[in-house]
Amino acid sequence: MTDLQSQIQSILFVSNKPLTRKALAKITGQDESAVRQALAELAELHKDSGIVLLEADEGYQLASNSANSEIVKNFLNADLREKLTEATVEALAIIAYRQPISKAELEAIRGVNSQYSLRALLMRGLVEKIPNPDDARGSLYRVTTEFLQHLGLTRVEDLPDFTELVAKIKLPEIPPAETGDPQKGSPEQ
Amino acid sequence: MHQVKVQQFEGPLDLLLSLIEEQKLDITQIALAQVTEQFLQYIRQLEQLDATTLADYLSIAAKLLVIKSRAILPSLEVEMEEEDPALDLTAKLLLYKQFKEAAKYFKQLDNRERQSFTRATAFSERINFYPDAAVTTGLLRKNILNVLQSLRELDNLPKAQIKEAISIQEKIDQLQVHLSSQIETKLSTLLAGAKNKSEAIVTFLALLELIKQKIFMVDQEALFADVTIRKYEKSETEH
Repeated sequence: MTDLQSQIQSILFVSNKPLTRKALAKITGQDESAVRQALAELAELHKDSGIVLLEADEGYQLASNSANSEIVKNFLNADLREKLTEATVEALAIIAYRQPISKAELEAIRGVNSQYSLRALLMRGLVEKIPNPDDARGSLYRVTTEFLQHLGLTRVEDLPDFTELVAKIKLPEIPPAETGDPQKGSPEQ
Repeated sequence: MHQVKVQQFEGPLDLLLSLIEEQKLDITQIALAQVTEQFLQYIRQLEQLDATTLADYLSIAAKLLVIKSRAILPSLEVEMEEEDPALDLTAKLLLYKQFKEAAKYFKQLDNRERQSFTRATAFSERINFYPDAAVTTGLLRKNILNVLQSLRELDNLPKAQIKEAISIQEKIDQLQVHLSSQIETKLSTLLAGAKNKSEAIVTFLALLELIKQKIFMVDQEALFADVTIRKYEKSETEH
Protein backbone atom coordinates (compact mmCIF):
# COMPACT_ATOMS: atom_id res chain seq x y z
CA MET A 1 0.00 0.00 0.00
CA THR A 2 1.39 3.39 -0.94
CA ASP A 3 1.76 6.16 1.61
CA LEU A 4 -1.05 8.07 -0.01
CA GLN A 5 -3.37 5.07 0.09
CA SER A 6 -2.49 4.51 3.72
CA GLN A 7 -3.11 8.15 4.61
CA ILE A 8 -6.41 8.26 2.80
CA GLN A 9 -7.48 5.03 4.46
CA SER A 10 -6.71 6.46 7.91
CA ILE A 11 -8.60 9.65 7.23
CA LEU A 12 -11.63 7.85 5.84
CA PHE A 13 -11.53 5.52 8.84
CA VAL A 14 -11.88 8.32 11.36
CA SER A 15 -14.25 10.42 9.30
CA ASN A 16 -17.93 10.12 10.03
CA LYS A 17 -19.05 11.69 6.79
CA PRO A 18 -18.26 11.31 3.11
CA LEU A 19 -15.15 13.16 1.96
CA THR A 20 -14.72 14.48 -1.54
CA ARG A 21 -11.63 13.90 -3.65
CA LYS A 22 -11.01 17.60 -3.38
CA ALA A 23 -11.06 17.51 0.41
CA LEU A 24 -8.79 14.47 0.48
CA ALA A 25 -6.38 16.14 -1.93
CA LYS A 26 -6.24 19.17 0.30
CA ILE A 27 -5.64 17.16 3.48
CA THR A 28 -2.97 14.96 1.95
CA GLY A 29 -1.39 17.75 -0.08
CA GLN A 30 -1.57 15.68 -3.23
CA ASP A 31 -3.25 16.51 -6.47
CA GLU A 32 -6.69 15.19 -7.23
CA SER A 33 -5.68 12.76 -9.93
CA ALA A 34 -3.26 11.02 -7.55
CA VAL A 35 -6.02 10.87 -4.97
CA ARG A 36 -8.43 9.48 -7.52
CA GLN A 37 -5.94 6.77 -8.41
CA ALA A 38 -5.31 5.90 -4.76
CA LEU A 39 -9.03 5.76 -4.05
CA ALA A 40 -9.64 3.41 -6.95
CA GLU A 41 -6.94 1.09 -5.66
CA LEU A 42 -8.28 1.30 -2.12
CA ALA A 43 -11.73 0.40 -3.35
CA GLU A 44 -10.32 -2.61 -5.09
CA LEU A 45 -8.33 -3.66 -2.00
CA HIS A 46 -11.37 -3.40 0.25
CA LYS A 47 -13.80 -5.01 -2.12
CA ASP A 48 -14.05 -8.37 -0.36
CA SER A 49 -13.16 -7.33 3.16
CA GLY A 50 -15.48 -6.44 6.01
CA ILE A 51 -15.05 -2.81 5.18
CA VAL A 52 -15.83 -1.44 1.74
CA LEU A 53 -15.20 1.94 0.20
CA LEU A 54 -18.37 3.72 -0.85
CA GLU A 55 -18.05 6.02 -3.79
CA ALA A 56 -20.74 8.58 -4.52
CA ASP A 57 -20.63 11.99 -6.12
CA GLU A 58 -20.91 13.56 -2.71
CA GLY A 59 -17.75 11.80 -1.59
CA TYR A 60 -16.04 8.68 -0.32
CA GLN A 61 -16.78 6.85 2.87
CA LEU A 62 -15.83 3.59 4.51
CA ALA A 63 -18.71 1.34 5.41
CA SER A 64 -19.40 -2.19 6.58
CA ASN A 65 -19.71 -4.75 3.83
CA SER A 66 -23.37 -5.17 2.97
CA ALA A 67 -22.86 -8.94 3.01
CA ASN A 68 -22.67 -8.63 6.79
CA SER A 69 -25.87 -6.63 6.99
CA GLU A 70 -27.60 -8.93 9.45
CA ILE A 71 -24.91 -9.28 12.10
CA VAL A 72 -23.93 -5.65 11.93
CA LYS A 73 -27.47 -4.47 12.48
CA ASN A 74 -27.81 -6.91 15.37
CA PHE A 75 -24.63 -5.61 16.87
CA LEU A 76 -25.85 -2.04 16.50
CA ASN A 77 -29.14 -3.16 17.96
CA ALA A 78 -30.81 -1.28 15.17
CA ASP A 79 -33.37 -2.03 12.52
CA LEU A 80 -32.54 -2.16 8.89
CA ARG A 81 -33.54 0.90 6.97
CA GLU A 82 -37.18 0.93 6.10
CA LYS A 83 -38.10 -0.41 2.70
CA LEU A 84 -38.88 1.91 -0.14
CA THR A 85 -42.42 2.59 -1.30
CA GLU A 86 -43.51 2.16 -4.92
CA ALA A 87 -43.48 5.86 -5.64
CA THR A 88 -40.11 6.53 -4.03
CA VAL A 89 -38.44 3.53 -5.64
CA GLU A 90 -39.57 4.76 -9.04
CA ALA A 91 -38.23 8.24 -8.43
CA LEU A 92 -35.04 6.82 -6.98
CA ALA A 93 -34.38 4.63 -10.02
CA ILE A 94 -34.81 7.63 -12.31
CA ILE A 95 -32.48 9.78 -10.23
CA ALA A 96 -29.83 7.04 -9.97
CA TYR A 97 -29.73 6.49 -13.72
CA ARG A 98 -30.14 10.09 -14.78
CA GLN A 99 -28.25 11.95 -12.11
CA PRO A 100 -27.79 14.79 -11.64
CA ILE A 101 -31.37 15.43 -12.64
CA SER A 102 -33.78 18.31 -12.10
CA LYS A 103 -37.21 17.93 -10.56
CA ALA A 104 -38.75 18.95 -13.89
CA GLU A 105 -36.93 16.20 -15.79
CA LEU A 106 -37.89 13.67 -13.14
CA GLU A 107 -41.52 14.72 -13.37
CA ALA A 108 -41.46 14.65 -17.16
CA ILE A 109 -40.41 11.00 -17.06
CA ARG A 110 -42.89 9.98 -14.37
CA GLY A 111 -45.65 12.16 -15.81
CA VAL A 112 -46.66 13.11 -12.33
CA ASN A 113 -45.81 15.66 -9.70
CA SER A 114 -43.01 14.21 -7.61
CA GLN A 115 -42.82 16.66 -4.78
CA TYR A 116 -43.67 14.09 -2.12
CA SER A 117 -41.43 11.32 -3.38
CA LEU A 118 -38.54 13.74 -3.63
CA ARG A 119 -39.14 15.06 -0.16
CA ALA A 120 -39.31 11.52 1.21
CA LEU A 121 -36.04 10.62 -0.49
CA LEU A 122 -34.36 13.78 0.74
CA MET A 123 -35.55 13.20 4.28
CA ARG A 124 -34.18 9.71 4.26
CA GLY A 125 -30.91 11.03 2.88
CA LEU A 126 -31.08 8.76 -0.15
CA VAL A 127 -30.73 11.69 -2.50
CA GLU A 128 -29.34 15.15 -2.08
CA LYS A 129 -29.97 18.48 -3.67
CA ILE A 130 -27.13 20.33 -5.36
CA PRO A 131 -27.10 23.67 -7.15
CA ASN A 132 -27.63 23.51 -10.86
CA PRO A 133 -24.47 24.84 -12.54
CA ASP A 134 -26.50 25.93 -15.56
CA ASP A 135 -29.25 27.64 -13.66
CA ALA A 136 -28.55 29.48 -10.45
CA ARG A 137 -32.18 29.29 -9.41
CA GLY A 138 -32.61 25.60 -10.00
CA SER A 139 -31.46 22.50 -8.17
CA LEU A 140 -30.40 19.08 -9.28
CA TYR A 141 -30.70 15.81 -7.42
CA ARG A 142 -28.30 12.94 -7.09
CA VAL A 143 -27.93 9.81 -4.98
CA THR A 144 -25.84 9.70 -1.84
CA THR A 145 -23.62 7.25 0.06
CA GLU A 146 -26.72 6.56 2.15
CA PHE A 147 -28.34 5.33 -1.06
CA LEU A 148 -25.41 2.99 -1.67
CA GLN A 149 -25.62 1.70 1.89
CA HIS A 150 -29.34 1.14 1.63
CA LEU A 151 -29.14 -0.95 -1.51
CA GLY A 152 -25.86 -2.60 -0.59
CA LEU A 153 -23.83 -1.12 -3.43
CA THR A 154 -20.41 0.46 -3.28
CA ARG A 155 -20.89 2.78 -6.22
CA VAL A 156 -23.59 3.71 -8.68
CA GLU A 157 -21.62 2.01 -11.43
CA ASP A 158 -22.37 -1.31 -9.70
CA LEU A 159 -25.88 -0.98 -11.04
CA PRO A 160 -26.49 -2.80 -14.31
CA ASP A 161 -26.23 -0.74 -17.44
CA PHE A 162 -29.58 0.91 -18.01
CA THR A 163 -29.80 -0.04 -21.68
CA GLU A 164 -29.12 -3.67 -20.84
CA LEU A 165 -31.45 -3.69 -17.89
CA VAL A 166 -34.38 -2.47 -19.95
CA ALA A 167 -33.43 -4.08 -23.26
CA LYS A 168 -36.43 -6.38 -23.13
CA ILE A 169 -38.85 -3.63 -22.29
CA LYS A 170 -41.01 -2.77 -25.23
CA LEU A 171 -44.39 -1.29 -25.71
CA PRO A 172 -46.95 -3.46 -27.44
CA GLU A 173 -46.36 -1.47 -30.47
CA ILE A 174 -46.41 -0.28 -33.99
CA PRO A 175 -44.85 3.09 -34.54
CA PRO A 176 -47.80 5.43 -34.88
CA ALA A 177 -46.84 6.54 -38.36
CA GLU A 178 -49.63 7.89 -40.57
CA THR A 179 -49.95 4.51 -42.27
CA GLY A 180 -48.74 2.02 -39.71
CA ASP A 181 -48.26 -1.53 -40.96
CA PRO A 182 -50.79 -3.54 -38.98
CA GLN A 183 -48.93 -6.84 -39.55
CA LYS A 184 -45.90 -5.69 -37.70
CA GLY A 185 -47.41 -5.65 -34.23
CA SER A 186 -46.05 -8.33 -31.97
CA PRO A 187 -47.41 -9.20 -28.56
CA GLU A 188 -45.37 -7.92 -25.67
CA GLN A 189 -42.36 -9.99 -24.66
CA MET B 1 -56.73 -11.07 -15.54
CA HIS B 2 -56.11 -8.97 -12.50
CA GLN B 3 -58.56 -6.43 -11.31
CA VAL B 4 -57.23 -2.93 -11.47
CA LYS B 5 -57.82 -1.11 -8.23
CA VAL B 6 -58.47 2.56 -8.07
CA GLN B 7 -55.65 4.66 -6.67
CA GLN B 8 -53.04 2.07 -7.32
CA PHE B 9 -51.39 3.99 -10.12
CA GLU B 10 -48.29 6.05 -9.80
CA GLY B 11 -49.64 8.62 -12.20
CA PRO B 12 -51.28 9.13 -15.57
CA LEU B 13 -48.56 7.34 -17.53
CA ASP B 14 -48.81 4.35 -15.24
CA LEU B 15 -52.57 4.33 -15.72
CA LEU B 16 -52.37 4.66 -19.48
CA LEU B 17 -49.75 1.94 -19.71
CA SER B 18 -51.92 -0.38 -17.69
CA LEU B 19 -55.02 0.33 -19.82
CA ILE B 20 -53.16 -0.37 -23.02
CA GLU B 21 -51.44 -3.51 -21.80
CA GLU B 22 -54.58 -4.87 -20.22
CA GLN B 23 -56.29 -4.70 -23.60
CA LYS B 24 -53.23 -6.06 -25.33
CA LEU B 25 -53.52 -3.18 -27.71
CA ASP B 26 -50.80 -2.01 -29.98
CA ILE B 27 -49.79 1.49 -29.31
CA THR B 28 -51.21 3.03 -32.37
CA GLN B 29 -53.19 6.15 -32.68
CA ILE B 30 -56.29 3.97 -32.77
CA ALA B 31 -55.37 2.16 -29.58
CA LEU B 32 -54.68 5.36 -27.77
CA ALA B 33 -57.97 6.71 -29.01
CA GLN B 34 -59.76 3.60 -27.70
CA VAL B 35 -58.50 3.92 -24.17
CA THR B 36 -59.27 7.62 -24.01
CA GLU B 37 -62.77 7.02 -22.66
CA GLN B 38 -61.51 4.66 -19.95
CA PHE B 39 -58.83 7.11 -19.05
CA LEU B 40 -61.35 9.92 -18.66
CA GLN B 41 -63.62 7.68 -16.64
CA TYR B 42 -60.82 6.92 -14.27
CA ILE B 43 -60.14 10.60 -13.74
CA ARG B 44 -63.81 11.11 -12.89
CA GLN B 45 -63.50 8.46 -10.20
CA LEU B 46 -60.68 10.31 -8.57
CA GLU B 47 -62.63 12.84 -6.62
CA GLN B 48 -60.16 13.63 -3.92
CA LEU B 49 -57.39 14.51 -6.36
CA ASP B 50 -55.54 17.65 -5.52
CA ALA B 51 -55.18 20.24 -8.23
CA THR B 52 -51.58 19.41 -9.11
CA THR B 53 -52.22 15.71 -9.56
CA LEU B 54 -55.35 16.43 -11.54
CA ALA B 55 -53.34 18.71 -13.82
CA ASP B 56 -50.94 15.84 -14.54
CA TYR B 57 -53.82 13.59 -15.54
CA LEU B 58 -55.50 16.29 -17.59
CA SER B 59 -52.34 17.01 -19.53
CA ILE B 60 -52.22 13.39 -20.70
CA ALA B 61 -55.97 13.37 -21.24
CA ALA B 62 -55.65 16.40 -23.53
CA LYS B 63 -53.07 14.57 -25.63
CA LEU B 64 -55.34 11.54 -25.84
CA LEU B 65 -58.24 13.68 -26.96
CA VAL B 66 -56.22 15.20 -29.79
CA ILE B 67 -55.18 11.72 -30.89
CA LYS B 68 -58.75 10.49 -30.70
CA SER B 69 -60.08 13.46 -32.63
CA ARG B 70 -57.61 12.72 -35.37
CA ALA B 71 -58.53 9.07 -35.44
CA ILE B 72 -62.19 9.96 -35.87
CA LEU B 73 -61.60 12.81 -38.28
CA PRO B 74 -58.53 11.96 -40.31
CA SER B 75 -58.92 15.21 -42.19
CA LEU B 76 -58.62 17.17 -38.98
CA GLU B 77 -55.60 19.39 -39.09
CA VAL B 78 -54.61 20.33 -35.62
CA GLU B 79 -52.06 23.01 -35.38
CA MET B 80 -49.17 21.52 -33.51
CA GLU B 81 -46.80 23.72 -31.64
CA GLU B 82 -45.07 20.67 -30.33
CA GLU B 83 -44.34 17.30 -31.77
CA ASP B 84 -46.98 14.81 -32.80
CA PRO B 85 -48.88 13.98 -29.57
CA ALA B 86 -49.06 10.29 -30.47
CA LEU B 87 -45.34 9.99 -31.06
CA ASP B 88 -44.65 12.08 -28.03
CA LEU B 89 -46.90 9.96 -25.88
CA THR B 90 -45.47 6.71 -27.19
CA ALA B 91 -41.95 7.86 -26.37
CA LYS B 92 -43.05 8.94 -22.92
CA LEU B 93 -44.77 5.63 -22.27
CA LEU B 94 -41.76 3.63 -23.36
CA LEU B 95 -39.37 5.61 -21.20
CA TYR B 96 -41.73 5.36 -18.28
CA LYS B 97 -42.05 1.62 -18.73
CA GLN B 98 -38.29 1.26 -18.83
CA PHE B 99 -37.94 3.09 -15.56
CA LYS B 100 -40.71 1.01 -14.10
CA GLU B 101 -38.54 -1.98 -14.89
CA ALA B 102 -35.51 -0.30 -13.36
CA ALA B 103 -37.60 0.42 -10.29
CA LYS B 104 -38.46 -3.27 -10.09
CA TYR B 105 -34.78 -4.05 -10.04
CA PHE B 106 -34.23 -1.50 -7.29
CA LYS B 107 -37.02 -3.10 -5.34
CA GLN B 108 -35.21 -6.43 -5.61
CA LEU B 109 -32.06 -4.85 -4.25
CA ASP B 110 -34.14 -3.31 -1.50
CA ASN B 111 -35.75 -6.63 -0.67
CA ARG B 112 -32.54 -8.59 -0.32
CA GLU B 113 -31.87 -6.45 2.75
CA ARG B 114 -28.18 -6.20 2.28
CA GLN B 115 -27.29 -2.89 3.74
CA SER B 116 -24.04 -1.43 4.86
CA PHE B 117 -23.33 0.92 7.70
CA THR B 118 -20.87 3.68 8.24
CA ARG B 119 -19.27 4.73 11.47
CA ALA B 120 -21.75 7.45 12.10
CA THR B 121 -24.67 5.12 11.74
CA ALA B 122 -27.47 6.81 9.98
CA PHE B 123 -30.15 5.74 12.43
CA SER B 124 -32.00 8.40 14.23
CA GLU B 125 -32.43 5.91 17.09
CA ARG B 126 -28.76 6.08 17.72
CA ILE B 127 -28.54 9.82 17.98
CA ASN B 128 -28.14 10.51 21.66
CA PHE B 129 -28.70 13.78 23.43
CA TYR B 130 -25.80 15.17 25.38
CA PRO B 131 -26.50 18.43 27.16
CA ASP B 132 -23.98 21.19 26.91
CA ALA B 133 -21.33 21.11 29.64
CA ALA B 134 -22.56 24.43 31.00
CA VAL B 135 -26.03 23.08 31.63
CA THR B 136 -27.08 22.77 35.26
CA THR B 137 -30.31 21.50 36.78
CA GLY B 138 -31.18 25.05 37.77
CA LEU B 139 -30.75 26.24 34.20
CA LEU B 140 -32.87 23.42 32.85
CA ARG B 141 -35.54 24.18 35.41
CA LYS B 142 -35.56 27.86 34.53
CA ASN B 143 -35.85 27.09 30.83
CA ILE B 144 -38.61 24.57 31.15
CA LEU B 145 -40.56 27.06 33.26
CA ASN B 146 -40.10 29.61 30.49
CA VAL B 147 -41.44 27.14 27.97
CA LEU B 148 -44.41 26.35 30.19
CA GLN B 149 -45.06 30.03 30.68
CA SER B 150 -45.08 30.70 26.97
CA LEU B 151 -47.39 27.74 26.48
CA ARG B 152 -49.74 29.25 29.02
CA GLU B 153 -49.62 32.55 27.14
CA LEU B 154 -50.40 30.70 23.97
CA ASP B 155 -53.34 29.18 25.75
CA ASN B 156 -54.57 32.60 26.82
CA LEU B 157 -54.70 34.03 23.35
CA PRO B 158 -58.05 35.69 22.70
CA LYS B 159 -60.44 33.11 21.45
CA ALA B 160 -62.85 33.71 18.66
CA GLN B 161 -66.16 32.05 19.06
CA ILE B 162 -67.76 30.42 16.12
CA LYS B 163 -70.95 32.30 15.56
CA GLU B 164 -74.12 30.42 15.27
CA ALA B 165 -74.96 30.36 11.62
CA ILE B 166 -78.38 30.00 10.25
CA SER B 167 -79.00 28.52 6.86
CA ILE B 168 -81.39 29.88 4.30
CA GLN B 169 -83.40 26.69 4.46
CA GLU B 170 -83.83 27.05 8.23
CA LYS B 171 -84.89 30.62 7.78
CA ILE B 172 -87.37 29.66 5.08
CA ASP B 173 -88.94 27.16 7.47
CA GLN B 174 -89.02 29.75 10.24
CA LEU B 175 -90.68 32.33 8.04
CA GLN B 176 -93.30 29.86 6.91
CA VAL B 177 -94.12 28.93 10.48
CA HIS B 178 -94.23 32.61 11.33
CA LEU B 179 -96.69 33.41 8.56
CA SER B 180 -98.86 30.40 9.22
CA SER B 181 -100.12 32.06 12.38
CA GLN B 182 -100.48 35.54 10.97
CA ILE B 183 -102.13 37.02 8.01
CA GLU B 184 -99.30 39.33 7.20
CA THR B 185 -96.10 40.62 8.58
CA LYS B 186 -93.65 43.40 7.89
CA LEU B 187 -90.13 43.12 6.68
CA SER B 188 -89.06 45.51 9.42
CA THR B 189 -90.50 43.12 12.02
CA LEU B 190 -88.58 40.23 10.58
CA LEU B 191 -85.36 42.17 10.43
CA ALA B 192 -85.81 43.49 13.94
CA GLY B 193 -85.77 39.90 15.12
CA ALA B 194 -82.43 39.22 13.47
CA LYS B 195 -79.58 38.79 15.91
CA ASN B 196 -76.91 40.10 13.58
CA LYS B 197 -76.20 41.32 10.11
CA SER B 198 -75.72 37.90 8.58
CA GLU B 199 -79.05 36.73 9.93
CA ALA B 200 -80.68 39.81 8.43
CA ILE B 201 -79.13 38.94 5.08
CA VAL B 202 -80.24 35.34 5.34
CA THR B 203 -83.75 36.51 6.21
CA PHE B 204 -83.83 38.64 3.11
CA LEU B 205 -82.48 35.83 0.90
CA ALA B 206 -85.02 33.42 2.36
CA LEU B 207 -87.74 35.90 1.62
CA LEU B 208 -86.61 36.25 -2.00
CA GLU B 209 -86.61 32.48 -2.34
CA LEU B 210 -90.12 32.21 -0.92
CA ILE B 211 -91.33 34.87 -3.34
CA LYS B 212 -89.72 33.08 -6.23
CA GLN B 213 -91.37 29.84 -5.25
CA LYS B 214 -94.66 31.69 -5.04
CA ILE B 215 -95.19 30.86 -1.41
CA PHE B 216 -95.08 34.46 -0.24
CA MET B 217 -95.91 37.66 -1.93
CA VAL B 218 -94.82 41.14 -0.99
CA ASP B 219 -96.17 44.56 -1.36
CA GLN B 220 -94.61 47.94 -0.93
CA GLU B 221 -96.76 51.04 -0.99
CA ALA B 222 -94.11 53.57 -1.71
CA LEU B 223 -90.44 53.82 -2.28
CA PHE B 224 -88.57 52.97 0.93
CA ALA B 225 -91.81 52.15 2.69
CA ASP B 226 -92.01 49.03 4.76
CA VAL B 227 -92.63 45.81 2.89
CA THR B 228 -95.72 43.86 3.70
CA ILE B 229 -95.43 40.11 3.42
CA ARG B 230 -98.37 37.80 2.86
CA LYS B 231 -98.95 34.27 1.81
CA TYR B 232 -99.26 33.95 -1.92
CA GLU B 233 -102.78 34.00 -3.19
CA LYS B 234 -103.62 32.90 -6.68
CA SER B 235 -106.59 35.23 -7.00
CA GLU B 236 -104.35 38.23 -6.86
CA THR B 237 -103.45 38.70 -10.46
CA GLU B 238 -100.64 41.08 -10.54
CA HIS B 239 -97.73 42.03 -8.57
